[in-house]
Amino acid sequence: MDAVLRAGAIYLVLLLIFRITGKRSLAQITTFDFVLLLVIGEATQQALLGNDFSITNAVIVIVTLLGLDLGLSLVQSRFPWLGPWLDDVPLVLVEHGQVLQKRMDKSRISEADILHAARSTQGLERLDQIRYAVLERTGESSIIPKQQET
Amino acid sequence: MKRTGDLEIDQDLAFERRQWSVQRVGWGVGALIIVAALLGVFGSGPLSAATAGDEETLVVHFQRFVRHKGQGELVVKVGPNQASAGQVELWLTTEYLGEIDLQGISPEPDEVRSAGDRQVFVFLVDDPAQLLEVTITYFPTGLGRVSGAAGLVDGATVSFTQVGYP
Repeated sequence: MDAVLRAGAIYLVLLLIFRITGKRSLAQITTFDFVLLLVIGEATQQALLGNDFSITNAVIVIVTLLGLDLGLSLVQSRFPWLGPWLDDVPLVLVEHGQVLQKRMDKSRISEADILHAARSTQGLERLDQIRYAVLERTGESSIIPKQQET
Repeated sequence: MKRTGDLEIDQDLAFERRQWSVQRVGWGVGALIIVAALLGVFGSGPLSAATAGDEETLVVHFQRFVRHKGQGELVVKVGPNQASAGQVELWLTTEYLGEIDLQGISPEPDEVRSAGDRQVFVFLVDDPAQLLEVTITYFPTGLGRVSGAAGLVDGATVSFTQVGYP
């Protein structure tokens, strides 16, 4: 029972923390973000397992975590209004080359981030070549270039 | 699916604004948690360190806030001239001992015995005029409000209360 409660508590706390920190949190992983993720994993490991390092405990914790994940996705498909709260929604940041500054500021995304995504995914050089830039639910930026217009 | 310009996208600006507000509140709560943790509300720190008792007879230094299976420490100071027949008999309630996982007592007691709802630790002392300092290390296991009491057999009693976090 203890292991299930621990796993459930950690799952909910992590979900809450990552939703509160926003889309930007650890989506585009830099080397430092990667190290940070490892440290977060290390910090939660002890709370998840307690003093019980048995295979049984590990299996219970893994099954509980995956079960909660599956359960939440089922709940989400039954109650679609929960979707945005659990998984966020996409947000258009650039429309026809125009930067929507307030949205960028609130999402903590800079023009440099958009240009970076434009260069790396579409090979674009300037903002005015971007038709749409969308901050996806996952925190990644999707770039739709103007030349794709038909 | 909703449309924004030519994009088929489930953008929801009203939700996004609500979410930004909730996130800002969440950041505030996070900042408060960090400050509270620094002050000792969740364990060691200035707000957690507490003392109960009288320097002349018996003093208990304890942590107001402890964490389940974290490291806890009680420092009990027995004042001078509290020994009788060359020994100090210090007790803790069995109720409190049930709320902790006792790890060690320094110096080691020369004798341990049960006496009703108390556990008595006997320390032999060479010089009764000297202060005796006993350090008890433990892992807290009690959750919520945990009441404890320590005392000397036929002497002073000190009560203290801790809060155990999960």
